Amino acid sequence: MDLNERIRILTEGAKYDVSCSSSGAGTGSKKGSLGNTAYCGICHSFTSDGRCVSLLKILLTNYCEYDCLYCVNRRSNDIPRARLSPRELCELVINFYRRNYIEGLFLSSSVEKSPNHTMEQLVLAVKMLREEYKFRGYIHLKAIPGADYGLIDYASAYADRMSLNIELPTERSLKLLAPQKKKDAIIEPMKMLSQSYFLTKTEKNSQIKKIPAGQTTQMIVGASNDTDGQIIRLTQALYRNFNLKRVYYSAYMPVNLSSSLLPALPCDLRREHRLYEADWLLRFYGFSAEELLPVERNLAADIDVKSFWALNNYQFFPVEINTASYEALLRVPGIGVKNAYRIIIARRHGKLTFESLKKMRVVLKRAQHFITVNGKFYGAYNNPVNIRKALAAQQERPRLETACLQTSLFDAERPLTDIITGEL
Amino acid sequence: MKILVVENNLAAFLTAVYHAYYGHKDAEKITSDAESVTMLDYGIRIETDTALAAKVREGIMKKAGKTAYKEIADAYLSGDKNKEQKLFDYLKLLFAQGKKALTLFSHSTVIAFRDMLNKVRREAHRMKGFIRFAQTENGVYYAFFGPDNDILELLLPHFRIRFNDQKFVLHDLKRKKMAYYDGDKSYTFTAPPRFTVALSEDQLKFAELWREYFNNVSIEERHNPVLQRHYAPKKYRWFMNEF
Repeated sequence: MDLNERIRILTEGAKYDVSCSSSGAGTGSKKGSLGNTAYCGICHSFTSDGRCVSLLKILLTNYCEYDCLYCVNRRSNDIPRARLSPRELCELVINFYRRNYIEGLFLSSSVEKSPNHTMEQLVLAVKMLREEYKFRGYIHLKAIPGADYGLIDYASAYADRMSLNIELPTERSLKLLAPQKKKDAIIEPMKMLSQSYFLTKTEKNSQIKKIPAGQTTQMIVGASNDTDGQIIRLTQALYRNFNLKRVYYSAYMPVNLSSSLLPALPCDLRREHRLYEADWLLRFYGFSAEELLPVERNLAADIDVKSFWALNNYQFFPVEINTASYEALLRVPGIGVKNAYRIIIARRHGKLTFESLKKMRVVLKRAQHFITVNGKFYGAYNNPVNIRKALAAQQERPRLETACLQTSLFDAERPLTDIITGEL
Repeated sequence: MKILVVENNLAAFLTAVYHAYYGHKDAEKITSDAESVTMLDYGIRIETDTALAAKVREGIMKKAGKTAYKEIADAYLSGDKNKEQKLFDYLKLLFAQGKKALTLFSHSTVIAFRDMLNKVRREAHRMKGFIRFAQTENGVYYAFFGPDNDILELLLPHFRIRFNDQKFVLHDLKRKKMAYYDGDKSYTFTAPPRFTVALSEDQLKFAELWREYFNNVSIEERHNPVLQRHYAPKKYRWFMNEF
């Protein structure tokens, strides 16, 4: 099989991994070596689904021992299979990198033969890239659950970032849909990696830097009946206990039609969108999962998560722009991290007016319901029921995501060959 | 209206600022666009004087700090037709109020300045990703592009550090400017009127593999060209070889 064909197959198998970020490392360059990494990350292109291309995201192989129900690469699927040698992979990365197509490599694999064998192949490839090709660009490496911890630890010295996909939000769902994957085989290596990351960050003069850009994980949403309340609590625990850099969600899309354990319909993309909003509130806005919603509940589809929280906690509003604390401003729908900061600084020079907020591009169509400016309230409504109606009407644009969802729901012509991958 | 007309470079602009404070105190505008001066205006051509420009630079740094000066220098790279005027207004505010002007986030002049600066820096950041090099026969990597703002000098250090073992050319086709890095030092100059390169054999192969990758990494069920255009505007796609 020629290289073009194999790249096509191995990209197809890798593309459902959501993460493509190249941020968090900021490794410098070295004379005689190729490349460096940018702390903020760099996007090199954008595909027709609007996602960024930053790394060469590819599988080393899609031959798989596992038979996870939701996965396109599962053993019982009749699809073309391929493999790349470490040398071929290195040549590809170096030549793409020198042409500025990519920021680095995101290498993953299906489980061929055994977890240990697969992990060894991955290590071999990145080691060759670092040592023989002297590559200092970004490497995101998947750890294979079930591989020896020593092997995963060894690999972490070559990667900027590693990830183990948690796959499903609860152990019950994992048992049901991916019976060959064990919870401990995912969680324990994550624990180990979080310690390596912590040491790399705190011991400045340690000889070996392990995963300077930390670790991430991903889970499928809507394949099991877990609630948003559960998912957000899990997310929070992952950030707090394992120092994760990011938690990614992917809305479930059906592909393996035969199983009665999986829903027949794809998950609404808006649900994924709302979970990301909640994730942002956890990481940058000082919210806790418990504040956002009860464990058995789901987020609202019709309004954004911050507005959802604000309406459920209307007793805190309205807040006065010229006196509210930074923390209180951050909780106002329509005011982000940047504008909260700017408001605090700018009001030292003189009282802010409604006009100045407009000029500073505060999203007033949301914020107006939750603030006063010099004592004056500018909103049209002052009760949560009407405000919710108004906000829902604003946010009810004919969204592309929804349109896209409908086509895949009702267009019978369309083959349902693509799904969420589970190749950890 | 009294207008100071200058060449299109930072030193020339700073010279004009000097004259606007000493000598032409009644000047209301500074521009490098001589054609924008109408019959009703009183245009004065200002010769660039690097010593005067240096004085103004020192003045800005003393008044508002080094970072503030760097911001002004970067904003000057803007492709905005009114850039001199926006910067002039901002400088007047800076000289009058000192560091306080840096954080007047609700002041129209400051907003106009910061918008201009952000556009320059955002485009420079974008180009770090969007620029595409092609390997030529003699092993030099060549890239052409055409940004809205004059950001060649902002990009050069990034690529020099990243590709320190690689000779390359960056070619701004809009401004007919070129930068060459020989593996040790870099040079910036006006591009020759005709410029052709012969590509290496490998170049076609890897460009083809890149397109193969790009076309297959997208998820069809999530097709969203509006979002794609938002992040990768059509105005840049002519120099990105995957489009």
